[in-house]
Amino acid sequence: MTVSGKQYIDAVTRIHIKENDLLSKEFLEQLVQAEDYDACLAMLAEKGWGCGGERDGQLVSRDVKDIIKSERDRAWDLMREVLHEDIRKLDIFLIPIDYHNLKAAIKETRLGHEYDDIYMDQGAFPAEMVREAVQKKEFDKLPERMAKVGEEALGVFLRTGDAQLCDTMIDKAAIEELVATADETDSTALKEYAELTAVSANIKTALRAYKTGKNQEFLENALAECKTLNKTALIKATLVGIDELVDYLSGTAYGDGGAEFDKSMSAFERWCDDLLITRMKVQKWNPFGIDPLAAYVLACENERKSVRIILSGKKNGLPAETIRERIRETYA
Amino acid sequence: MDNLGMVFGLTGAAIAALFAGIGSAVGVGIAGQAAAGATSEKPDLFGKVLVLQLLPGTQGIYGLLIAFITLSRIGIMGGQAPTVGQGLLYLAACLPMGFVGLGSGIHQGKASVASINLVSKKEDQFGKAMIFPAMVETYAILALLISILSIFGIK
Repeated sequence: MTVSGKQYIDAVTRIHIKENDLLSKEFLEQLVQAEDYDACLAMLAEKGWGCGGERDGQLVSRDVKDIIKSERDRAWDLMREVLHEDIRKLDIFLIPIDYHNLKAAIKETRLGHEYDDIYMDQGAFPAEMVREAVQKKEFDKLPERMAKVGEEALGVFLRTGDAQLCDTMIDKAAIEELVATADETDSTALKEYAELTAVSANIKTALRAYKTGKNQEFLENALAECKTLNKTALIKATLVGIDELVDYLSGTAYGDGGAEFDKSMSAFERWCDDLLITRMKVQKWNPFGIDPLAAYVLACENERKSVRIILSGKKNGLPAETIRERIRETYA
Repeated sequence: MDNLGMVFGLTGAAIAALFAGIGSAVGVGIAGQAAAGATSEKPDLFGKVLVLQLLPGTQGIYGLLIAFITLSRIGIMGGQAPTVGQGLLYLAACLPMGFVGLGSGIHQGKASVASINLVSKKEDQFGKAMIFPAMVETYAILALLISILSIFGIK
């Protein structure tokens, strides 16, 4: 009868207020229709986007990458401010970054050169720590799961020089860690995020494997286990062909996705992002727990993806229609 | 034991004040967390969220009222020491307020949190937001009524 566990009531209330500042679908459409890149930047600055949240403020940079990074930093600074030490509960969103850095460190070690710009600096563990651990082969400095796959992948890469195999091993481990981390929580939103990420990664891997003519053994090693897709059935369908894969997916909750990857991989990626954010929308009115906070993190990520697509499109002079069809569903 | 009737009556008064008070304390507490979160982002909302925070506070007052009436009839603040049978009746009469006060206070607090979230997002919905937690009040009032009628019905 009592309110048990951490409910994050004040944090959730603050975040729900912040949701009002997320970019709306109408605003994104205005951006698409804007005259040029500079006009887009001016409109974003009016909203405080890329200006540290200060409306009509000074843009941190005119470069897309810098603007996106500043917005990501702003979102995470806010989460740290509202969650304090419990920010670690959202580390699940940083797992892909940590594993990306692991891949970067392994490749760097193999090539014997240092490339600073291949690392991402916003993971749960400092990129430099991952780099040092791999270079010195001190894998015990990394978390258990990451250390195990890191050591194996480095060994395989050094032995065979097969970068794709190395990437596949690490990507699968990242997904498995994501799912395992989510399963350790009682958060519906985090579990949903992990499952949909696993599903999306598996389908994308299956598609690429089909297109490059990979065999069953590769698929068995590359695909992660997930709850809503049957790995054996997915492998079987992939080995037959695209139509069989679409047919298999039509019998799952991801039937609509089949039509999208028929168009293009980016259309399928958009469909995956939209599905996730649509499922998160129920959290907009949930006043308790970590779920609405997790949903906000994902909403900000989708927003950044949309703005990046629009800004990059404007910079490269893409037609409005091409940009529009890549924009993600909004949470607001 | 000569005062056994009074002991039962006093236990009833304590249950009414204690459990209804706990319900209100939890309810006002969680609503206060939401109110603080809302005010930190939008200080102008202070007046509105304060009202919503206070809604679950009434159960504690009802519990106090029942306890006070009981004490004034069982020889502690007035009246005569009850017999064992009458003491048990006072105890039974206080139970609705105690238990319903506990449950409704906590759940009204949760409803207030949700309403504070609603007002935080849509300020113009304050009137409607007030109604949701206020609905929970109905059951606290019904329990108060039954406890009062029972206490005054004891001869």
